[in-house]
Amino acid sequence: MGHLFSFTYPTAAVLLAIRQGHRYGFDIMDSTGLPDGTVYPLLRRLERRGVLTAAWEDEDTARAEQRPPRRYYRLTAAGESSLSEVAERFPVLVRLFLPEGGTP
Amino acid sequence: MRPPDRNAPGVPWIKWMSRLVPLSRRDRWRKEWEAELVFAWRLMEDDRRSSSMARMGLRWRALGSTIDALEERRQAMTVNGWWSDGRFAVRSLRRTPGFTTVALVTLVLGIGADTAVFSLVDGVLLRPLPFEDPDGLLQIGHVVAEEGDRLGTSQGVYLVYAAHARTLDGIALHRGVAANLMGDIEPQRVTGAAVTPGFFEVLRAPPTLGRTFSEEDGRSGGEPVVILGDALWRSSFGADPQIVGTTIHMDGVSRRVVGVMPARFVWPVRDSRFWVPMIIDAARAPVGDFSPSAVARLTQGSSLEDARTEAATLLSRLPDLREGTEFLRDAGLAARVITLKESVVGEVRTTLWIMVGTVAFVLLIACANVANLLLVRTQERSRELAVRVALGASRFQVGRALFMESFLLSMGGAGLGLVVARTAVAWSVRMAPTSLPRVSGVGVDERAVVVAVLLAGVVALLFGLFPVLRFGSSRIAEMLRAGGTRGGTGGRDRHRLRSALVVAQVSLALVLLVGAGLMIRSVLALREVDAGFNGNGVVAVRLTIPAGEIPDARVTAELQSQLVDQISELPGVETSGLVSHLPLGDGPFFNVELEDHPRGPEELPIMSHVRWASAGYFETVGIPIVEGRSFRAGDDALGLRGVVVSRAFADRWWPQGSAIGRRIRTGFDRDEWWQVIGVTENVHLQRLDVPAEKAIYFPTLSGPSEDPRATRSVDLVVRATGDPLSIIPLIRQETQAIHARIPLANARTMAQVLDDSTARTSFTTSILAVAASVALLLGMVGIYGVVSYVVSRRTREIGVRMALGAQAGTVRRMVVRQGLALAAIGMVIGLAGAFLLSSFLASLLFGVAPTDPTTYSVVTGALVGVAWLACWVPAARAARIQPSRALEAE
Repeated sequence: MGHLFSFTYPTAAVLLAIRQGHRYGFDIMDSTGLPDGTVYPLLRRLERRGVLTAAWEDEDTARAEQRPPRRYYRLTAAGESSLSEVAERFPVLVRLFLPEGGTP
Repeated sequence: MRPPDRNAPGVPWIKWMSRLVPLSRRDRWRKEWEAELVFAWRLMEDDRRSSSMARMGLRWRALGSTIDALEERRQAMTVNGWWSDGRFAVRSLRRTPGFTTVALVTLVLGIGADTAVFSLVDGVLLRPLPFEDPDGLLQIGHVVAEEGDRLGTSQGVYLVYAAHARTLDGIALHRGVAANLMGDIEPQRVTGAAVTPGFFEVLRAPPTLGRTFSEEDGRSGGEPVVILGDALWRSSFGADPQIVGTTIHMDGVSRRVVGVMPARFVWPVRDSRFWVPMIIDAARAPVGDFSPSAVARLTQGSSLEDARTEAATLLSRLPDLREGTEFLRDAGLAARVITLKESVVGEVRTTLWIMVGTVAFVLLIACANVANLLLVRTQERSRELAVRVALGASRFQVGRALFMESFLLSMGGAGLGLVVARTAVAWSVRMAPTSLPRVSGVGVDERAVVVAVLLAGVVALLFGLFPVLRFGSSRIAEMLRAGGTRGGTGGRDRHRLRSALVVAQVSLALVLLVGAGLMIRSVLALREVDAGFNGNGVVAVRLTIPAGEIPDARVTAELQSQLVDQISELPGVETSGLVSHLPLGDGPFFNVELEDHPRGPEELPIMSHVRWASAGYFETVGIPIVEGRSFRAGDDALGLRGVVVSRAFADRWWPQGSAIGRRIRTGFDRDEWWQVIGVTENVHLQRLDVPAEKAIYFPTLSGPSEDPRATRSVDLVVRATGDPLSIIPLIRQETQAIHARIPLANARTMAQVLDDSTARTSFTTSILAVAASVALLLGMVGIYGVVSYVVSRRTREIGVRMALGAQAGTVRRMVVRQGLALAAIGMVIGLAGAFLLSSFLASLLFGVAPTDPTTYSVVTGALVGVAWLACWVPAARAARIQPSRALEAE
C-alpha cells in the first residue's frame, strides 16, 4: 500500500497535535502555530484520505454554553498506524508533542 | 433554553465566504467555522480578553477561511468536474495502450485523410481565385456545332466582343508562350503568356513595380516590352528594385521591362513567369485561329445569362460586324461562356468530390470501429460505472466521464491527423497530375486545422454517444446485476448495436472497394488503348530556335534537319525526328481546305488537328505508315509540297479510293496546295480516352513556298537502342555544337508522356485504392473485434458445448457462420449502395460500366475472404477452448 498522504512537516504536526488531544480546528492551529489557510485544507484532505474522521461535538454540551456545536477530528486506525512513520521522519517533533514518551 | 448565540467577530465573513463552498458541503463548512469563531470569542470574553485587538485577531483568523473555502471549491471541481474526468480519462487510456493505439491509429487515418482531402478541395475548388472580385470573371470560348471541339477565341472575334459587348466590362486574350531568356544571365527556357493590353485591368491585378501594359504596347511596331513575374524577377534578376526600364533578351528580342507582378499572380498558365503583349493588327487579325483564350469581366448588374445571350446575338450578327467571318457563322460557331472559376476547376470537380466522398466513408468506418472498441471497453467497465452511479453520480456525470475518453481520443486523432495530413498533402501535390489546377498552392492551413478539430468533435459525438446512450442510469440496476457474471455476451441489444456497426463498416468498405475496383479497371483499360505509337526507348527534348537568332525560315529548317542527321549518327541512336507537338498533349486545331471538297463561304469549314513533323518522326515514334510514304529529307529541296494525313482523316474525306495525291491547304497565310503523300495509322493526339483524331501532318517548313514558315519550337524525338535518358547529354552536346544558344528543355521519355496522360485517372485510382485498403483493413479489424469479443464472452457456453461433446470443427463453424452472417448483411447493403453511387463515378470511368458485374463479384469475393479470415482466428481460438478450463474460469 502506498502512502495515504505526503509526509510534510505540517501534516506531521497536525497529526501529532490531534494525537495529543487538540481536536478542534482552532486548537490545532494554536498548538502547531500553523495558519488556518494551511490547517483547514490539510484537515479536509486527511479526512478525505481516511486518516482522520470528523464529528460534531455533543449538542447538549454546546447548548449549555450557548454556542453552536464544534466539529472535532480524531485519528482513524489508519491514521494511528501512520503515526509510526511520522515518528520515524520527524523524531524531534514527536518529542515536542508527546513529551511523556507516548509512543505513537 | 436560549438558542445558541452565533455572533462573533469574523462570522459575517464566514457567511460570505461560504458561498464559494460547493452546496453539498456548504452548511457543514459554515457551521464548523462559526462554531470555532464563537467558541474562541466566548473564551476571550470569559477571560476578559475581548479587546479590539482580540477582535482583529479573530477577524484575521476568519480571513484565513478564504483559503479553505477556495480549496473546497477547487476540490469540488477536481472531483466532479471535467478536469478530473479528463485526467481520469488520460490515466485510463494509458492503462490500456492496446486499445488506445488501435483507436488512435484508426482516428488518425480517418481524420488525417479527411483533412488532407479537405486541404486539396479547399485549395483547388473552394478558395476564390486570387483576383479581385473573382465572381465577375468569365471565360469566353467557342464550340463548333459539328465537331464539338472546344475552341478559344480568335483575335477577330475578340475584336468584335471588345467593340460591341455591353455586358462585358473588358475582355482580354491570352495564350501560353515560352521563351528563351538570354543576355547576361544563364540561358533558360521560361513559360509565360502573351496577353492583350487589357488583361491586367480585366483581372484587376496591379503590379508591384512599374506598370501593366498600355494600349500602345499592344500595337504592332511598338517597342517590345515585358512584365516579369515575381518568381522570375527573384530568381534571375535578384529582385532588383531598379529592374523597371532595363532591357532583357528573350528569343533574341530585346524587351524593356515595364513592370513586375506580385508573387500570388501566376496566371494564366500554371508556371507563368512573364507576360508579353499580344500584338493585334486590327485590320488583319485572323478570325479562324481559335487558339487564344479569352477572359472577360461582367459589368456591374449583368449576369452570366446576359453575357451568354449577348455573345450569341453578336455571333449571329458576326458577318455584319466584321468582314470575312461568314464561314464562322455558317460553321455553327457558338459561344461557350462560363465563369472563370468553372473553367479553372470544372474538369476536376467530379474527381475531387469523389475523393471527399471516399474519405468521408473512411472516416465513418473509422468511427464505427472506434465506437465498437469503446462499446466493448465500456462493457468491461460497467462495474466501475455502476459503482459511480451507486455513489451518486448522475446520468450526466457518467456520460461525461465516458464522453471525455472519446473526446480526448478524437482530439489526439485530430492533432496527429494534422501531421499525417501535412505529409499526405505534400505527397499529393507532388504526385498530382499537372492538369489539377491550383494544386501548387495547396497546403494544410488554419482552415484545415479548424476542419480537423470540427471533424474530431463530430467524431467524438458520433462514437462517444453510443456508450453514453447505452449506459444511462436507467440501466444501472441491470449493470450491477450483470456486471459480475461473464456468462452472457453482454446484453442482447448491446450486442445488436455492435453487430450493426460491423454491418455498416462492411457495407461502406464494399462501396469503396467497388469504386476502387472500377477505377483500377479503367486504368487497365486505358493501358490497353493503343495510343497509335510505340514509345519504347524513345526520348523527347523540346528545343526552340528563336527568330531573333536565326531569322530565315529555310536556314532554321536546314539547321534542324542537320541536327536530326547528326543525332541519328550518334552511337546508340537508331533514328530521330522532329514534331511540333507530341501525341497525348495539346496542339492546334483549325480550318483547312480540300481541293476536292470545296467549301463556299456559306458552308462549314473543314477542321482538323494539325501537326508539323520532319523526316524520321514517324519512324522514330513508331507510327506506322499505312499508305504512301512519310517525309523524306530533301523533299523541300525538290520542291515537293507533301503532307501526311491520319487514317481517320483519309477515311472521313476519301472513304472510297486512295488519299494519295489529294490536295490540301490551310485556310490562312495565303497558303498554296499541298499533296497528300502518305497516310499514317491513327494516333491519340490529345487523350487516350477519346477516339484518335483526324490529323494532318505538315513538314516543319510550311507555308507558301515564297514565304515559308519554320516550326521554331519542336520536340526532338530520338529512338535509342539502350536507356533513352542516357542519350540526353549527347543530344545537348550536338545541339550546342550546331548552335550555342539553343536551350533544351523538358526532356522526357515517351513512356512518361503516356504515363502523364493517364495521371488523373491513376491519381484518383491510387487515392481510392488507398482508401479502400484502409476501409478493408478497418472492416477486418471490426469483424475480428466483434467475433473475438463474442467468443470471449461465450467461453463458458462453448466450454459446456464441448464438454457435452461438440467437436472443434463444429464450434469453429458456428463462430465463423455468425461472423459471416454479419458480413453478408453488410455486403448486401454495400452492393446496393455501390450500385446507387457508381453513377457518380461514371464520368471518370473508361472502358468499364459503372455496374460492371465482374468488379462487383470480384470485390464481394475478396471481402468474403477477408471476413472469413477475420472470423477464422477467433473461431480457431474458440475451438481450442478446454472445457475444464472454461468452467473453472468462472
